[in-house]
Amino acid sequence: MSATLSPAIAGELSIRSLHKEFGGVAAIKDLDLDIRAGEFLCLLGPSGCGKTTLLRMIAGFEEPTAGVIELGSTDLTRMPAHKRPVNTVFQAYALFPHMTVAENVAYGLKQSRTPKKEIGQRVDEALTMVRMREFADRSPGQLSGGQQQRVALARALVNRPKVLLLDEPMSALDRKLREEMQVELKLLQKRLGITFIFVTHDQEEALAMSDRIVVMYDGCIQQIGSAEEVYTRPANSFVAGFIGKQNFVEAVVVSDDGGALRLRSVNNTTILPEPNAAGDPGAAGRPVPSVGDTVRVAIRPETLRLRVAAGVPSAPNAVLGRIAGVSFLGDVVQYVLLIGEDTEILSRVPRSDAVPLPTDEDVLIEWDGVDVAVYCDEA
Amino acid sequence: MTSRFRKFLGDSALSFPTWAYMLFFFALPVALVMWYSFGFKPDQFTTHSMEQLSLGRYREVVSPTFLSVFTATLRISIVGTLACLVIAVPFAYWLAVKVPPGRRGLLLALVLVPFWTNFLVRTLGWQIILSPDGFVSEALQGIGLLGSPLDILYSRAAVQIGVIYNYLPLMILPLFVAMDSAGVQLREASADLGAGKWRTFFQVTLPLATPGVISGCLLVFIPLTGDYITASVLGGANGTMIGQLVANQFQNAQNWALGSAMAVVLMLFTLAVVVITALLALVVKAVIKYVGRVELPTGQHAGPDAGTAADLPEGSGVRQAEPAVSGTTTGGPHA
Amino acid sequence: MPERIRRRSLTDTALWVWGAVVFVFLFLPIAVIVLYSFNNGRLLASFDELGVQAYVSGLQNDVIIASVMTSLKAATGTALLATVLGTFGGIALARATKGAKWPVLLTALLALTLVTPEVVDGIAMLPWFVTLGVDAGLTPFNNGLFRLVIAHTAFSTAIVTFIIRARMAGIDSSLEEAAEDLGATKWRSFRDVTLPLAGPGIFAGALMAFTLSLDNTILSSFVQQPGYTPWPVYIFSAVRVALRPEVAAISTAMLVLTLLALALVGLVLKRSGNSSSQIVKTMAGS
Repeated sequence: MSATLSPAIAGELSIRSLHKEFGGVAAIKDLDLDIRAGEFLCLLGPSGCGKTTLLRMIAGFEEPTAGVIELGSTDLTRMPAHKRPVNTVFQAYALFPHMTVAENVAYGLKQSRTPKKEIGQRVDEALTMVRMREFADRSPGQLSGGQQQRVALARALVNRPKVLLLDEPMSALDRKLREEMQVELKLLQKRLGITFIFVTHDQEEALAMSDRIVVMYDGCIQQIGSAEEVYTRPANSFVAGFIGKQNFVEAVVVSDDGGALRLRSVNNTTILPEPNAAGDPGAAGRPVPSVGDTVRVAIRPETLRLRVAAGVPSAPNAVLGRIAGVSFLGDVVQYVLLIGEDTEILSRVPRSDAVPLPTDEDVLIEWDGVDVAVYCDEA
Repeated sequence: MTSRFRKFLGDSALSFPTWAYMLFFFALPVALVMWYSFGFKPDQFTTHSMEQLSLGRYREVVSPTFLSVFTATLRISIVGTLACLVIAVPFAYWLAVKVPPGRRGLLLALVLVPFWTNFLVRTLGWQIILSPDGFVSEALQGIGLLGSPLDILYSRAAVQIGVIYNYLPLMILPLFVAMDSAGVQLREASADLGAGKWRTFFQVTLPLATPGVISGCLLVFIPLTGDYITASVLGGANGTMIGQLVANQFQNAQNWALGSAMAVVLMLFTLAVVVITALLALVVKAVIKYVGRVELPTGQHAGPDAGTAADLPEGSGVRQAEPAVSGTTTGGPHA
Repeated sequence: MPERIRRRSLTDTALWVWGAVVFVFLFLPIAVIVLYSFNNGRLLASFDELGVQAYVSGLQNDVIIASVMTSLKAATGTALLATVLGTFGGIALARATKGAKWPVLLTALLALTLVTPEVVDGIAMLPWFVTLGVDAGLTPFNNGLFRLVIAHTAFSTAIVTFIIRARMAGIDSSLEEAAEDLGATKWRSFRDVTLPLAGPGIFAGALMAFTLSLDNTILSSFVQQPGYTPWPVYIFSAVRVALRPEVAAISTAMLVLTLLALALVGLVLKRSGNSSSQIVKTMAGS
């Protein structure tokens, strides 16, 4: 059955120099993006970053100010929404309240004048697939949020779109249900092989589901990569800060020995980033700081090691701090550490590795140079 | 107020003045009219007498004059309501969908301007426009479209134009509200699923605007049926409406019994038209629903062969998920 | 960057044309009345020469001024009374416990007043006022102005109630609970929280009642007493005799005043943070 729902032609999208302005304000700035056939792509970014505008242009609800959107060899740019082989799962589902669940799902098929018998079969398949078959005669108002979402999914997928667009479809669900739906959606996508473009502002959701993540900010793409890439090798400090928990501290470049930087930060802490490590300046065309520059240093909370201090550290990549708070988060223990007067950083330690630490005296905070990322940009 | 008294009244206490007023100045007098309709007019100088109750006045009501005026009134009000609907549907759609949101408020306010202008004065405006020696008549003759002066004032046609004009805003408003609150998202969803503009209109926008259509039709039809001012200004002797007959019995003939019986008949007939139309609409809706129904293959989903097992991502744990919420508490607009 | 291609389909063009045509239709007779109010001739319908004579003589005509004043007084009284009743009714309906029977009954009663033809209201009111005023000796019911206010209130209250109910339904009742939680008595929370929140609705309702009363012809013609002829009834009787341009002049003046009042309402509602569509919806009581 999965074959019947699979698209005949792969949904390969190519977006060239796409530009969109609303009343003179640019929402999308000269954006290029290639979306591979059958991939699960997340557009991730804070609200107002242009991700929804991009999605709406792919769907055909907004006309680009300039640029081209192509599906395979078909130019979609000026094609009206109802002619595009693309379907959408809307944020608030947008189920037709005056139709039953079955009528909602059949709507798209009726538009393409599918024979009645086939409509019945395909609606049945689609509803069975999302396990809503027994709700076929209900009206959408009688369904819970999760059920409405699955109907919305069936309504879109029953048309066998080449690309399925999902506009923050999980935002109305509670956490537990959302996590279950993430798994379900991912499995469904793998099985159907349809290109999924998923818009979200929830980075955990993006990390959990995507083959690739497109991090957007201010109408531009900040980074494209797998979940691991954007997490471990953020292209800039925006991405570094947006994805996952992050500690940022300011530091001054003291010396540059052929790319091996020596930085000084709060409390005269010496930071030695390891060259060619994560977030290495110079990589991917990023600017290289010169001696005397102030830079932003990012260190993930889980890369910090804490132990009882035995005096002021002399080695680099270590600093003394005081534990200002401890929270138990289930699988990890999170410490809020105070360095000096007002520099707060986070440390996360797996519960099994957590050792009792004094809260009334300084602890030693250590990290490896390889986990240090240095950014010259302002974010 | 003692707490027991308050408990007895519950949260309805605040509505007590409204209750009292509406019962005393609406329900009671209307009940009195119904009561009078069973009485009679004993002599020239007495308006009514209730000494002998009978249905005699109702027999008097069903006279050829009354019936012919009644048919004419009904025709004008039905044609008027339908014409208002036909004019208002595309207009409300244009206003709710095509006009940019920023300009919608101003245009809506403009629709209200005639609505807030004295309707007699507006009707007088039509009297001037339609008069045989008015500027429209002269202009039409001037460009050769008319050979003789415009002969429309004091005719049924003039009355028809006048009532359509006077009640049009009452149709536009509820339609606009209904189409506007359906929201852009459902229309986008429809386009996304492959429906063009026309199909979206007839399958999504219009069905969702049904409550607006219903209230618009009621708001136009009911006052229009009772109205006789517009008709007497624009129709003259040809513009006698049923309301005029009722009014005459009270204002000229001083026959309250007969007038009351006419009023009751008017109310009942108005109600009957509304009920019959509603039933017809329900039948039409049922037919449309039946024609467009989706028949799912039966029994298949229960069987193990339908590929269901393979389709369920096992272990995702959604199977035991949330029970259906009864009622209409979950999100999404409702018709 | 290339100029965005603007295409408007045939149906879109047709819709814009239709919108314009309907607006012309809606404004044609009003424009005519305004134009003819500057007719210096003796008869309204035959345009003689341009001038403001009609305004001058209209304002000097005691009968016209008296009837306009009667209308304005009746409309003010109606607005006050209907707004009080409608505010109580509307708030009570919006805050009623779910499942109670009385809100359904009250709504039905109010809806009934809306679907009753005006002529029926009129013929029902006339004998009732005679019964109360003459037979029962309640003399106020013989006063023309009192009768107008009572009768107009009876049919405006429903609309005011529905406008205020709609307004209150959109307001979280936990705001009132918050006031009580902070130590306000029921009365204080009603006065300090509920009423101000209902404010725009109350204002719109009052304006609606005022205009409905000002516009009312049929009901007024039944309940009016000598010496208290309201403006529309005056026009209606003038239609049967001979229409002079004064009627158009005074109407135009009143239209301008109504528009100013409307603009004021719009401004007040806009201040309270409503979108323009919402404002008009509130004003229309939808």
